[in-house]
Amino acid sequence: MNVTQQELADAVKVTSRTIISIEKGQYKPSLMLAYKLALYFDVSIEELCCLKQNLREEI
Amino acid sequence: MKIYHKKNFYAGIVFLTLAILNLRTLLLVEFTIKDMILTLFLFCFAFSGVSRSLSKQCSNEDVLKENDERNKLINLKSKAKSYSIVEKMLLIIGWILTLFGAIKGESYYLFVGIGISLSLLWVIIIFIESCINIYYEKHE
Repeated sequence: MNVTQQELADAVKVTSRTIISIEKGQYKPSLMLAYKLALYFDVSIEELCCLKQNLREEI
Repeated sequence: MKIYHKKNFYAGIVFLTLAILNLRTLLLVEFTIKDMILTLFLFCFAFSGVSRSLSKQCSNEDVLKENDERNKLINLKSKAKSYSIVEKMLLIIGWILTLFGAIKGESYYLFVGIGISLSLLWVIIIFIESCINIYYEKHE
């Protein structure tokens, strides 16, 4: 999907700095922001945040 | 001409007022390079504030920055940390001044007075923090 960080930031109403931090794993988005991102990419929040994979790694 | 961001507009007006007052002092009282540079900066901030508040696109950018959740979190964390540091500094400086006044003997009342005042201020801060804590425990 060809989308820039700025375009994504504008779509979910945050700054591009926040998107960069999320991509780098420095910042965990709130539930609402994660939901907006999931809606934008048309995936579930679990798939977006790789929750199952992260849970397996934790265990 | 519509004002899209009132906070920026008023901030720009305040900077403009300060710049004009500074300019007046420069022209009528004493001219220094330092004050001239300060006046220039004040005019720049004033122009920036007012022009951004009158532009729809710039105002939207500023509102986005203010409401960005990461920025809000960083501001909250910064304020909490600086409050915590100042709280500890108040207590330590209060103790040091009180001890210094007691040991030295010179200006005893001044040092001890300031030391006790700072320590009292620390006590007030702790009390207010406890009250706010209780409030949020009940309402959150």
